[in-house]
Amino acid sequence: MTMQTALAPTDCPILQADGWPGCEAAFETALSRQWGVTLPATVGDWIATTEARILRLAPRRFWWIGDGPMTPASLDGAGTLTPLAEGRVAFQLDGPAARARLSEFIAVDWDEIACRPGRAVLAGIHRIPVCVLRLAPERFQLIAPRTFARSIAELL
Amino acid sequence: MTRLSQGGRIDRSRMLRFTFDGRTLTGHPGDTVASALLANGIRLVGRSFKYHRPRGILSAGAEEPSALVTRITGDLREPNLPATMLDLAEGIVIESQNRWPSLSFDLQAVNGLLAPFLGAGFYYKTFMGPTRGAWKVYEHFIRKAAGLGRASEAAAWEAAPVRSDFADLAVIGSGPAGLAAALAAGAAGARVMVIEQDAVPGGRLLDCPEASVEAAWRRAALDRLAGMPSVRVMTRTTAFGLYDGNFLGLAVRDDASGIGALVQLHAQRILHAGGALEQPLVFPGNDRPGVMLAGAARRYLTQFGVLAGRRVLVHSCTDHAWQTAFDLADAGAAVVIADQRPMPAALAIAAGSRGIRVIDQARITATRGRSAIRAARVESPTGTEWIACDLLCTSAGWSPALHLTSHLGTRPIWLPELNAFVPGPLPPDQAAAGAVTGALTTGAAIAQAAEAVRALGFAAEAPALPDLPEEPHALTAPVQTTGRGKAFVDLQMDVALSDIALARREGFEAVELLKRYTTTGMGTDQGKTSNLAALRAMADRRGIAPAEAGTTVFRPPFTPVNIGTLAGRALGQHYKPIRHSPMHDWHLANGAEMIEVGLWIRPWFYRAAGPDAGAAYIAEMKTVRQAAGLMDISTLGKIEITGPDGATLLDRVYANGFAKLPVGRARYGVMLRDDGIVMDDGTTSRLTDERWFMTTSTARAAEVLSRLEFLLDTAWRDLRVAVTSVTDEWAAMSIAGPQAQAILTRALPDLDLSEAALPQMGVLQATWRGSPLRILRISYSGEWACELHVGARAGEALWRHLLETGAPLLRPYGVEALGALRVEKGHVAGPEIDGRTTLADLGMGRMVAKRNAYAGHVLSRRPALTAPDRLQLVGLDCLEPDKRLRGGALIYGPGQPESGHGQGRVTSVTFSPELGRYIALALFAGGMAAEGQEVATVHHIRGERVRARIVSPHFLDPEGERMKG
Repeated sequence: MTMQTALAPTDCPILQADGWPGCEAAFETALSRQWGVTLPATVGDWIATTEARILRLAPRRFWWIGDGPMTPASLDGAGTLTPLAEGRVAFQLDGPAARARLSEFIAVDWDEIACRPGRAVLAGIHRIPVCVLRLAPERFQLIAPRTFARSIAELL
Repeated sequence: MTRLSQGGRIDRSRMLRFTFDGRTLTGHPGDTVASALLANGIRLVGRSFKYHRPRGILSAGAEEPSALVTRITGDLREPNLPATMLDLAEGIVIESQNRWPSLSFDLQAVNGLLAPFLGAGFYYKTFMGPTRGAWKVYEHFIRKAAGLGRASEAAAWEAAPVRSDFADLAVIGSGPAGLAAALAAGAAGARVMVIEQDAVPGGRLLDCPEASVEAAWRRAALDRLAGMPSVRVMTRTTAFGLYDGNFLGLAVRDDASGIGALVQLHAQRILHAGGALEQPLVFPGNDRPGVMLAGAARRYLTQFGVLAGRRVLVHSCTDHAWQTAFDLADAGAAVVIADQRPMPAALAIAAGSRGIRVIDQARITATRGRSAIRAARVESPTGTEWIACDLLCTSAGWSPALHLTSHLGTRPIWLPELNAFVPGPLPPDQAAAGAVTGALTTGAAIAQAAEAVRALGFAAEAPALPDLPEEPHALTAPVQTTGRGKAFVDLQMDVALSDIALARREGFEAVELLKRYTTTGMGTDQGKTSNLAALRAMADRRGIAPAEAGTTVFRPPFTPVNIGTLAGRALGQHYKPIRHSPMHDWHLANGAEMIEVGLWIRPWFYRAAGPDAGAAYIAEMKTVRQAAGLMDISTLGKIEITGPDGATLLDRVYANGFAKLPVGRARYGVMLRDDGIVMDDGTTSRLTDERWFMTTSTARAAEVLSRLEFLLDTAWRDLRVAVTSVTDEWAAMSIAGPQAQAILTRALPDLDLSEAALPQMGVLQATWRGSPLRILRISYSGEWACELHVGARAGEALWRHLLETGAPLLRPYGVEALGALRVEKGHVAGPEIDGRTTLADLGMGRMVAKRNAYAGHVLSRRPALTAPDRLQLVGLDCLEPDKRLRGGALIYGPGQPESGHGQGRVTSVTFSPELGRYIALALFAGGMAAEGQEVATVHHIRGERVRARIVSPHFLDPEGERMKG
């Protein structure tokens, strides 16, 4: 089996949105309006737009993954935006062997409904926090902290 | 020994050559090393642990106690491998163990003559004189003599494959129960993984001839499983441990490459179908080469086409052993059966039809033969006689392989009809079936497995049972006989019935003490063929039932696992992840000597400053104090804190107040643990009303973030704050020194870096070549200094730009110099913030004099944490110019005996070029109340004693004038 891996990681700019407790509805309304999308409903779901992938990372935390406006803007007092333009990189893993390669480092049951395409998982490689987006049955985007990029590339 | 011309499941069309103790032999694909050795007429394969007695092959599986060999591949020696589990491969080089100079002539066999002195626990009673120190001499030789195989120091392999895997049902074992369970669950659509330690699946079905109903059922089952995409059968795979959450550790053997793989299996449900281990009878001389388990002899015949003996004596208390006798007789051996029980009538008829002589109510009381068995003395009501034999098959019944069921604490229970332990009550997501529960027939195993799969929640149908022949399976409790010569209970550890009796006499009769005192069950085989016999022997001597004697607790691993397998890929550079700063490549290209700091790799010093750390750090300190230095501080933890309640959060987590910090200002802060001990220090800057930028120490960044998240998730859930790690977002560098301000002004001409615009502890936000830039006027060295935080992608560019602008005055410096500079200024760091010190201990008590609402406040006021005689921060001046102070040295006050813990300890040391002497920070009882006192610093391990004087920890510029520029 073969796998194509972009061992040279690419920049992965992120804009993080956090909502305040008790303001969930107002937060999501404001964010949805600002980003022009219907936000993913379930933690771990992500959707794709022409500009970015939008991931619901936690009950009150979203990631805009992609280029776009990084300037924090108003969320009507219901939340905050934190630009994470430079701290992460992305590896692309494609092909029939991609699942097998990932299983060498992270314990995720890719057969589970929770891990189907359109879902993301937070996991750890040697306790490095990584986020893996399943783009297709055999396509994965692995997002890792920039300072670990070289180490992860060597490992992959 | 004969390789029969037909039969077995080996590939007779191909020949494999291998070497045993230098002798070239042949075998076939499908052989194990053990079967190939037997086929070549080799029965002597090793020497025992203590007495160096000749030993042969007892079993055909992982329970093998005696036939342990070393595989040699180039420089690599892999010792203690059971020959019964090692697949034969072309060119494999095998050596016997624990003998010198040769297997047939082993000088240490003289230990046998010393047997009366080498009983259980002998090392607790002997080798005690003539002096107390004599043991050190004895120990050296005992250690040399101990052990079995000898390992090499060569690396086993570059990296072992590791992966995680998942299954709805893990089936441990591929005998009739395991295969039936896999069929049932697989047909129901479950993801099933069948785990089989042998090379060929089938378990005890492999003992049945190919023409048998059982073998046909096995073949059909495997064919059906092969057609189920959701079912995987993993052979050569041992489930060595069961851990929390139904997490199984699997070790996969690849005997061709020698590389062991590790699979971490997460199973929703587990079916334990690992079968039962046949047990040998205990009688004098039961350890001679040629004494073999009855089932093993049958396995060598049916699986490998090897007739292990021509004149066979079968000694047992079970019906199963009679099938071995029948099969061996059918293969041409002359067989005698000596059963411990009264004559089983039906079996006796079958024996008679094959010309097999049967002796009932038989006991073996001695054997003959040195390197191979030649005869056994059989006593029965009809008399005593020596029976010549070259193979003695023995069976004391079965002990279920329940080890994995007890790895999580399920204690085995005694099954009287089996005379053995079976698994205790299992959790709802686990079940057991087959011989492991005491179901000794194929039909019972298949039926039980289907029921177990349904009980685990799978919609499985009852299997169609094959038309199986009757399987006699009666057995009685075995009788252990004594006589002239040792009757071994544990073959690997050389433990005999006499040792069990000794343990009883000396009071070590509880099963846990029995194990540890006699060492029974403590070898590589973990007592798979000896534990039951040992506790039976002790129970007999205590006059109690074996169930009352109990059993020891089984812990992982089920069989030994190569440490290389467990290491997986975490070797060499992959041992742990490494974090690289954005300027890493520049450091390497410019002569930095790097050092690991946690997961980071940082410049220790630069070779341009000196040939070694000792010289370089002093030069780098001078550069900072006299001109300007540039330090990569990207490793500092950085946390972005945003939200209207950010000030409230900071006010609560920091011991000193932050709520009133103006925008554009930074403040040094200290966090306490809940118990009042200092956790970490750092600085936090207020960027806007609702946005803060916190820096932490490199070492505790994750701990601080975790603590903030924990508090926001639990104690302070109403706060409108988000905390986010931004350590990787920013490249950070510190420029410090009397020339630093001028250099920075030239480098960043568009920015106002005057005192008015950027005062001490001021914060400036800007951009540099399109990247965000934060400048914090913060000094760690005590000189005029700024921290520059720039977008990570621009880090190296800014670093180069500063150095080019500041050349030749501005030079880089490393962590060694950084640590030294802060000692001169009396700034505390990790050696002082060591998990035992309070704010007051560190001289910061006044910081919180008027505060009482921060984390850790309450417990920080405990009497033990406020006692006046606590170890508190002081400075030390070295009074002996030709000596140096040493970190870790203990401090003794005037007139105090220089032993014990003393009155304090030295925490951080440096040579101060400005002061021309060694100085240190230390923690001393009573702290600065002892200012001016002369003390002795003693490093007992190094044997160093240096006089010092207690002084203020602020050695240089105590008023902080230099920071003002």
